Amino acid sequence: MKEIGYNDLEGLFSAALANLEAHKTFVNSLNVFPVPDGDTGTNMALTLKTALAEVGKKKPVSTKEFMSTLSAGSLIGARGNSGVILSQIVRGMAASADNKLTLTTTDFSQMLAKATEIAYKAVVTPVEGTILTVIRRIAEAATTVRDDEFVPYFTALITVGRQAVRETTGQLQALAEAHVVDAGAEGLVTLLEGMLMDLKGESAGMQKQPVEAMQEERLPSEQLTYRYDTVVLVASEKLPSVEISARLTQRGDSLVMASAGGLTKIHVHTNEPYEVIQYLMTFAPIREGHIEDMQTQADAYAATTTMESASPQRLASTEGCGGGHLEVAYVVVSPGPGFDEVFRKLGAHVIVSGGDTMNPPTEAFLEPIRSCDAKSFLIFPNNKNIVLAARQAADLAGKDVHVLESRHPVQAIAALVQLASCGVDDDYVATADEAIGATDFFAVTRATKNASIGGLRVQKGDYMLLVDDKLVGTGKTIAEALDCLRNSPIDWKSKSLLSAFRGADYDESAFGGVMAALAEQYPDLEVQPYFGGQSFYDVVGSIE
Amino acid sequence: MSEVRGKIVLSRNAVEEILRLATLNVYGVTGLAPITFGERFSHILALPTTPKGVDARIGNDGAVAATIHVRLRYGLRVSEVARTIASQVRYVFCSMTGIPQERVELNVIVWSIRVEPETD
Repeated sequence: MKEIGYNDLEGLFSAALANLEAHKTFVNSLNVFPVPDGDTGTNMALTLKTALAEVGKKKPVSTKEFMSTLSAGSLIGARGNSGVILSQIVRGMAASADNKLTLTTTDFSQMLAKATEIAYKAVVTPVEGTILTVIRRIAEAATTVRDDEFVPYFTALITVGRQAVRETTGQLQALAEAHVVDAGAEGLVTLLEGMLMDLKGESAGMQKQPVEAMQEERLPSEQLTYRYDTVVLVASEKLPSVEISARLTQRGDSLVMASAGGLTKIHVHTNEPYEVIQYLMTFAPIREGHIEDMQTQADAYAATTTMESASPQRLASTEGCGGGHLEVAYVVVSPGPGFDEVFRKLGAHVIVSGGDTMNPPTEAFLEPIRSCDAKSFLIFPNNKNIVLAARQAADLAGKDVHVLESRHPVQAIAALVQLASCGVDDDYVATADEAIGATDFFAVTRATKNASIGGLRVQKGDYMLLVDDKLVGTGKTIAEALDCLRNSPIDWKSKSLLSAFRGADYDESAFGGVMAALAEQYPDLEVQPYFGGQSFYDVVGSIE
Repeated sequence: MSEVRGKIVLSRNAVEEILRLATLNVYGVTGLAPITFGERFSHILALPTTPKGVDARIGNDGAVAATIHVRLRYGLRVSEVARTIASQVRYVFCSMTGIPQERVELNVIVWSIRVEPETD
């Protein structure tokens, strides 16, 4: 295409808006300058949306009319600082598009130059490293691009724009500290990219960009050392930010924290989003969470999981509740499909998915408790971080609910076994508590970083053996780590059974071999291997 | 942190200067407005002066209340620019001084709109 008429312009700007809408969350997450309120993407999108709505109302019939309507619309629709700047850019483009029937690339270059001029006029002391820098750089480059085809022309502009966006990090201290690019600048180039997609005939926002190009463009300063873009909204404005940032920067980077209106938004790139969420929950309740796999960000929508949308129905299975009135119903938190099966066989009535990788919300407990016809309920949280949500559910349920102190799923197994032989008059809670207390549990997992815990040095990638949540030993392989069991303070003489559950990512035959070795090593113990299906831990088990 | 004897005083002049500089960095602000009689008089006579533009009061309890008089550029959404001044200046001021945001009250008065001829 060499010429753009007024009837093409609406599609062009609509595509720009669609692309920005698709990347809005990302743009919002960058926002640290000048005020970290995390709404740059939203503001820019709303500004353009109002502008296009105005165009829809007026139905312009010439390029001049289209641009002046868009300009007027963006002015009245300007939201936030970035929206105001965007309105000035549009205004400048409109001023230059005057008296033009159709637009060529040369016209477009002039429009960009005028946009830069107008946009710069509205500020006394322009700050470099913002949207202004980027529009100026693009406009400067536009004068040197001698291509009258729009697609190569836009491609060239975007290349320059992307480079300029990357460089914003180094131009502003606030951006450098947060390791991010300027949000407004990113928003602007996102708009241009949307336009290019329209010119190429692709649908904006849904377009699959090559993953590598995407990473390089979006995250210039890192080669995805940290994979998950994690944004958590915590319901408190007064968090110990120094402590939190010290802790979170150990687990990730690109940390941005901003507080306003009783909420704090925390943005971090990490490999352990669940740990971040668990940690933040110790300070205040989580209002909202957003985790995005940046590796597959190409299809932004598909990879997006909002915790809000995870309904309790999906998190909890209540199939054990169907058989009419129950004296006592067991509500058990299970970390994986293998455990689900075991719990079901042991008579658990409600199974709630959750564990180290995911803490179920209070509703995940409340919903089944409300719908299940039972006189009383016993909740096995099976993780110290889930106890709180379970207790909250117990308070809210309006039924007789006990939350047990089980810190691990294997403790719930031991308790359920004991409960199975319980008489009607027996004290369920005491029986369960006793079984839980008598069960030692162990787990093997990989260290995600170098550390020194309790005098033991751990190297990243080593397997660690945890007994009762304490680090007992490490090894290069799972077998080596398990070998450290003998160093654990377990009173072996009183134990007779070792049950071990294989994690979702651990090979079955390797697990079998390790278990056989354990049986040989502890001839007095009965060793029982099972499939657990839990993530994160390769092996978990109990000794009782 | 070790205990330090003594106190830190932020003068009204310093407070006003910070607010002034922060305001001038806001997009859409073309300048500050004259607020004292002398300044306005000079303005009418078109004498070259640098208007003060900011009037700050510091309470005995350390709370800051300030009024910022600005001139904006024509062709911007005034409400949004004023809102941006309020939030951005407050943020910059509070992060520079360490005064908590709820202890700072800012009022923004748009004194005039500056029109510049747009030449093509």
